[in-house]
Amino acid sequence: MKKHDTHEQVSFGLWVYIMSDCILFASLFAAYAVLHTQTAGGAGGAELFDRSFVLIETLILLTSSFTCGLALLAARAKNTVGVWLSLLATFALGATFLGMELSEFGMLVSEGHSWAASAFLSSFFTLVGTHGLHIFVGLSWLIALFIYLGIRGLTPKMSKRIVYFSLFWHFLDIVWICLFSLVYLLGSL
Amino acid sequence: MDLSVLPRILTWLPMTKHAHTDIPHGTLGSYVLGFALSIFLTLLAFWVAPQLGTLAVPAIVITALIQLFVQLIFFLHLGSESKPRWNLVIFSITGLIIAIVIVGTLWIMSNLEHLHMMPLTTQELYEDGMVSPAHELH
Repeated sequence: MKKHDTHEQVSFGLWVYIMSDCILFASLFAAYAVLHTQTAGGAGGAELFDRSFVLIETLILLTSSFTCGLALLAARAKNTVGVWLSLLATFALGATFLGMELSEFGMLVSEGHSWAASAFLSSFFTLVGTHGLHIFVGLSWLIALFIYLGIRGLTPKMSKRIVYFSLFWHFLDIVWICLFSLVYLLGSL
Repeated sequence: MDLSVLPRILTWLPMTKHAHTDIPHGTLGSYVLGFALSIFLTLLAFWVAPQLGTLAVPAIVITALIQLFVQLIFFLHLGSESKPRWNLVIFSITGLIIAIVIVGTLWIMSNLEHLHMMPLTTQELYEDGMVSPAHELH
């Protein structure tokens, strides 16, 4: 008979994964910190970054983190409609964020500021792109949750899955706060 | 420091441990407060900090750090787990590793940059024994 891991074990494992992911991001941040002045004669952050656009992105992701917390509360209250609404809101906001990030990337590349243009842009695209990739994974995870939720409903197991997802999603929001402050705000000073 | 008391102090809400559910602590109040604080700190870093002149950089970094802990405590409920606090232990060690990676990288790279920037005269190179006078310098 297969023994299942307890909830504590799973969430601890997930926490350890998240912490190791923090180290990945720290390395990318360190690379960016070293390379951000190496623009190879091209435009730097101050000319390229659209502060207001990124502020809106930040507020959208922050709100999605909040709605994800609401999903947790709804799951605890066994409120299936609440879980659906808050998770759908989380998905919509996350997808909007990712869309905005991709449109920012598209704009930069079309203006000739691609990752190949300078060491600064290489490290910028790697750092921000890695975060974007995590968001994409989070959105895929959410779709899997929707399918499970649609088929089985709000079972106790489902509530735990929402807890695991929320850990990951809140973590992505925290990484973005660092990106917003250290890359975009400091870069556009 | 016992971080678990912070949300309780800050939200004036009872945050009882949920003995029979696996869903972590946190109330609507704590999420709303965490969300409001995060928005406030984001707008502060966006509008106020850049106008502080030489203090702009530390102001942005400090608001980011505060927001980091606001979200860790109110959204991720760091420190509110029951003992032993393994999550907190792993978190602290990760913080140490991150500090070593980032501070170490910046330190080494700024040293290298200094070395590159330092204009050495031919005479100094001879004295250091790095180049012998017989070699042509470009």
